[in-house]
Amino acid sequence: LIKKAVSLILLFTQPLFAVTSVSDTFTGTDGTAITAHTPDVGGAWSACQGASPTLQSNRVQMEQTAGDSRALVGTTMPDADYEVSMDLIWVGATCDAKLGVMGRNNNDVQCRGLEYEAWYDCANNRYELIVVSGFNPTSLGTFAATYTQGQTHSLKLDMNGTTISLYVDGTSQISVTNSAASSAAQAGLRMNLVVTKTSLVGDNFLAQDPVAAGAAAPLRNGMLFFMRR
Amino acid sequence: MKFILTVIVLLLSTQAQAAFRIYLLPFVTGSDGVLRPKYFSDGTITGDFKGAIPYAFEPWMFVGADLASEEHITLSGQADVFLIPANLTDTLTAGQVTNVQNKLESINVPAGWVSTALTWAQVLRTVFGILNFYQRYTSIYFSANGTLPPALGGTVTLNSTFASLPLAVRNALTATATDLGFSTTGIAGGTTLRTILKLMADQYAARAFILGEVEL
Repeated sequence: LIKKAVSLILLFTQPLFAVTSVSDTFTGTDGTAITAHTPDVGGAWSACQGASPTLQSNRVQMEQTAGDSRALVGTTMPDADYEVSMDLIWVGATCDAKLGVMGRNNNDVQCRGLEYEAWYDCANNRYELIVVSGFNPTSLGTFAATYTQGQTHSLKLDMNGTTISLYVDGTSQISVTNSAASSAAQAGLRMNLVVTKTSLVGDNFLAQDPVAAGAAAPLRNGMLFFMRR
Repeated sequence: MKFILTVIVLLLSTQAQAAFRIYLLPFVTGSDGVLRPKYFSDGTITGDFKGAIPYAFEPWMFVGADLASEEHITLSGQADVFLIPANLTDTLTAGQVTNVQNKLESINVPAGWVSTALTWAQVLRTVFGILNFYQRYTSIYFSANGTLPPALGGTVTLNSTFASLPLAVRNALTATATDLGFSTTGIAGGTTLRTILKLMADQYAARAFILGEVEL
């Protein structure tokens, strides 16, 4: 009964008409490169910078030793207003990695020409929102969160026009107006590793327009209305 | 009892002093190659900044932060940090107009339009418009040319006329205006870059600018 009640609450508090372009629960054989794995929804992954991340225990784990890596999903998002999210699992007793998501990535050289990034940096105990333009990353804000082994947190990069926001566990923590990247382009994974690749892993990657333009969205009383983001 | 009341008063006092404020400060490149606001990168300030509006790669950015009072005092006391007053609905005094104009012009933001008739919010809206236009211009320039645009203050200055600008700069400026849905009416060969940037900023019109907890 409780599970049914929770399901109903979730059903009526989530956008019913979200348009999912990409989703991946990273289900597969341990050690499989994600470039050899098909997302649940969306085009194939490409490792555009560094080694391909791999599947481990039905999660995604970075593999590029000591440096940056990026992976893009081979799906161009239908419009520029969308969100990219992923669960971050804080596995290790200690952690020296950074892991997150990218959006509006124009797939330039090493896919680091133009994009927005949101990631968790466990060495510095903080989330960070970054814009990359002309291969130069600029921080747009930070949100402190002390690394604690065993926790899982949802990270979301939301891009709505020129409003770029970072959400942690459903709450907006950083929000700014930025005009550098305006095209839909592609979503993907962003990683940086020093030593311990198993310390910080991801799951439930999702790129979607939470309420598509012109789509019907539910009111809490069950009525429907039409809205644009 | 007196001790408890004193503690409560002190706690309330500390909370009251912590407030979201906007600062203009330089950025520096971190060891990881990421550009971050100075003092937030070197350990001087340990608090978060809830948002930043950079002037593309011109080395300054507006930062919004809700710092502990001690850190606010430390940051606002730095010689290269310009503090925006907390009350953004106040109009600028004559002295503030001079200070703002001097500061903005020193970092290559046109500022001749700043006056005592404007509130801090109105001034920030126009400045954020200039910075956001310049961010988009930088991306478009890079996409077309594979390099960042010339830095302001060198061969290109705010007083450069449109006709005197390199072709790649002219093309990127007009492409940016088109991309943002802005009119290029008013831009002629003799129009200076400072006038162009102000013309573009004015066309953000009702579009909101968000910097952390502040929406203008």
